[in-house]
Amino acid sequence: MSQPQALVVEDNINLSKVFSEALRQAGYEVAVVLDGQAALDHLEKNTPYLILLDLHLPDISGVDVLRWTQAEARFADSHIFVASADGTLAIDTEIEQMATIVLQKPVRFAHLQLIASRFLPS
Amino acid sequence: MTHSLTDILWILLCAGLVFMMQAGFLSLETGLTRNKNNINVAVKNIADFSVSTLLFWAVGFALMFGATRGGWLGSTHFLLNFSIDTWTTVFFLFQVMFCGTAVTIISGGVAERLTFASYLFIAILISAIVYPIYGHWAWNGLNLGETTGFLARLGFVDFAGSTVVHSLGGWATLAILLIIGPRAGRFPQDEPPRSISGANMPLAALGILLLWFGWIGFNGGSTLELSEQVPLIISNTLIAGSAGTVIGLLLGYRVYGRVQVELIFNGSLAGLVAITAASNSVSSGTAVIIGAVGALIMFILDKLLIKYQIDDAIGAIPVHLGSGIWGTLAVGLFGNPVILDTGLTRSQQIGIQFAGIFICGLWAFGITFIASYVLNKFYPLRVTPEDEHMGLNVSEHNASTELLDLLVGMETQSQNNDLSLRVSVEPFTEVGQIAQKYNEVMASLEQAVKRTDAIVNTAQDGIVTFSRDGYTILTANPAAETIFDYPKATAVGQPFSILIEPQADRPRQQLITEIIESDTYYELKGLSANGRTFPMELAIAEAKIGDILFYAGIVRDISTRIQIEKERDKALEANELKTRFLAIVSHELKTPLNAIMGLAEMVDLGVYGDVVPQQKAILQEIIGSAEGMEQMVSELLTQAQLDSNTFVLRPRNFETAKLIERANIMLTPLAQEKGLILNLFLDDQCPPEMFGDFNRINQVITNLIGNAIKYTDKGSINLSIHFSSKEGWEIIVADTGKGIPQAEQAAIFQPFHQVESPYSREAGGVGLGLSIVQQIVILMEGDISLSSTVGQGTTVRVTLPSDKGD
Repeated sequence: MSQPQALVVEDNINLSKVFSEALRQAGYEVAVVLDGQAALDHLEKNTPYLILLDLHLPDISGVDVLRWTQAEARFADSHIFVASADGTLAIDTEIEQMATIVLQKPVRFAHLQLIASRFLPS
Repeated sequence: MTHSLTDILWILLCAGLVFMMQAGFLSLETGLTRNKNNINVAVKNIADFSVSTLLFWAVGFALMFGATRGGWLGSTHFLLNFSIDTWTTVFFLFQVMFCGTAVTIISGGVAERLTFASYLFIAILISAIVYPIYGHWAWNGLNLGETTGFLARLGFVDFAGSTVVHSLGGWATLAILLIIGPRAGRFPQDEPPRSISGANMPLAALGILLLWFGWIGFNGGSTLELSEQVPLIISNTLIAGSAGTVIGLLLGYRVYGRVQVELIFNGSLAGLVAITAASNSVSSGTAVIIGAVGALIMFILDKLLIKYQIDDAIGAIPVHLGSGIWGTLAVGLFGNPVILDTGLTRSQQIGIQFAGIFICGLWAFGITFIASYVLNKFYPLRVTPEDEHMGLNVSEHNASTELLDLLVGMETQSQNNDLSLRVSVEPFTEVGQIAQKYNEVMASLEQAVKRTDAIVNTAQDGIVTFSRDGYTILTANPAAETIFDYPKATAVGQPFSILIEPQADRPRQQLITEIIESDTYYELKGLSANGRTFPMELAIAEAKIGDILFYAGIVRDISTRIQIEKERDKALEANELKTRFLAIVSHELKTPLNAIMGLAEMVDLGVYGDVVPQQKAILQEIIGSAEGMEQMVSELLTQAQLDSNTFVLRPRNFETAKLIERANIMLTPLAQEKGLILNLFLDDQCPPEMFGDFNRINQVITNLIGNAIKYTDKGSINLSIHFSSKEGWEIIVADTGKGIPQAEQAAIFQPFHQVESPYSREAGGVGLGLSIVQQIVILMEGDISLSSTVGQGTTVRVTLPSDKGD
């Protein structure tokens, strides 16, 4: 059985390495993009099982990417982890409802690995 | 002509009765006038009698009854010698009373405004000249049973003096009234006439009865003998007077719908005056008609006087002149020719009666008017308005009564506004009681005013009153004088606008009007006496004392407040800037910090190959430093938000189970990693939905469990959520960790506090210190408490109110 696909959308290249490695260790086949447009391009062609989405992206906001996925029926079974660095915790209800979970940065390597492994298809 | 002693007795008796009329007039006039003049009226009645008696003895009797010169003037009996002839003396006694009556009629009509001296002048004029000369024309020869006066010779009959005494007095009264004018306040401009009520009606009523009594002698004695005619004359007199009274009574009912006291008084007198000329020559039925018509004429003439604004204080003209003319005419109309014995036909008789009336008017009115007019030019007949206001008792006689003392005391007080004055109290009298009460009222008033004064004088706000017209400053309290730098009372009399900075777009007066109409506080620039401008708050209210309207401005210097507001705004702005800055910094720092932690962890966990123990130690140092830095940034930001009140809660309804679910996803792996069991328990009593800020509640739970994992090495961590309608929500996090020493428990809620313990990297950095958790819980109107035993574990209990969402 092939590994489930995951996409990491994170503009900080170092952090993207941490996230992708954590997911890989959890058992995913991971793709990494650094901005919103690249994320959309990737998602046009692929339907990853897990998407780790940073809300703060240089071009298109993470929220827009999130909305886009919601409009597409093929993402109905996908899990979307939202990562936010907003210290004010001003996460609105819309994001709460669209995301599977909202993670507050810092998202720890071991922690992410543990959580992601729980979402592996059985 | 000889006279029996009986006749002499009768005439002497009648003289006494007529004298009684002086008492009647005195009572009537003092009763119908005001208390402030009553002494003056009474004294005039006594003085005029004495003066006229002396003058009638010296001159009047001679001119009236002395030997005639062609029917025009008497020439003998000056300074009458009483020892020569008894009858002449008896006759003098009777006649001197009539003279006194004629004079005293005037005193009532012109009451309450003539100086005493001018009244004496009038008394002299009437008793020495006007009365005796006309009397000569009608009555000369009466004492001798002859008719030698020119009017009498022509057939003019006036039995007891309807014209000779009453009309003549009335004419003189009219002449004087035309010169001196009405009493102050009787005919106010553009208002209906105001009646001036008498002060003592029962006394006036007694006066009426005394006059009736006197009239028995007045008419009854005019036969100059005790003849069989006398009872008829007296009876006619009484029934005519009664008829006049009844007419007065009926007129009162008809016109005013009630018994009008003055109409009863004057109706009765009019009846008596009317019958006087014909009391010996008409039947009893006719006497009733004469009396009744006399009262009607009195009523009509009274209305005419009011119409022409002639102020007859007691109705002397309607009664004596009006009814007197009628009575004299009635002799011609109804008199029995046999008794009149003039030999004239009825129309001739009526004609001569008219002539007599006319000549009387011409003479009495003419002479009195001219003499009074001339005198008035040199010596004003009337008292000054001040004296009239004060009352003639005081101004003419320096008299003082308790009531007057009280009035003067009250007047003084109202003049100088001195509330500390007290009127003198005469104990044991009604007026004394009033005075005492007045003093008590004044004392309370003074206290109330003093209290108000104290408030105004000690107020921190400036209080400035100013007039409606021209906005002129009336008063300014000490605070206002300080605010505007005006020394004591120097602002008073100046326009209110000088306290306001000149406006570029409109006059200050206009601004003031706007503020008055707006009825609210205005913020504007004030202008002090030395030209300094400053921000002030100004409200203007309309105030009223009695009929006087004015404005009261309340002023507050708000320089300090404005300064404080500016500084506060600056501080707030700075605080907000700090918060925003921290938010950006924390946001920008968290991602690279996250990368540092993650990369170090990856190396540490052997992702990139084996790591020697020394390297592992360094990596843990890196992770620990990054965690410490991250936690500090988070705490700084949250603390800054709390300090600047930009920490916002976003409450909403959410599924209670989500709290458990979230903890399971996020925290169970962490606990398991450390070999701990995380028990999650949601009580059955909990409602399926909770209202609150999900993220913040979740943050609290995450922090508490994160800390528990951090400080627990073995055993379990229990999260349980309970609910009761009374207590609300209860969230309990209990661990089996090392516990917190008693000494440190109090400090654990202090910001940036961390229990001194070896760093445990496995736990990872999860959130904020307990002080922040506590502040968040308090902002959610909840509570947090901690109990811990070293070696056994720690339990943290959070309660939240059970608010319901909309």
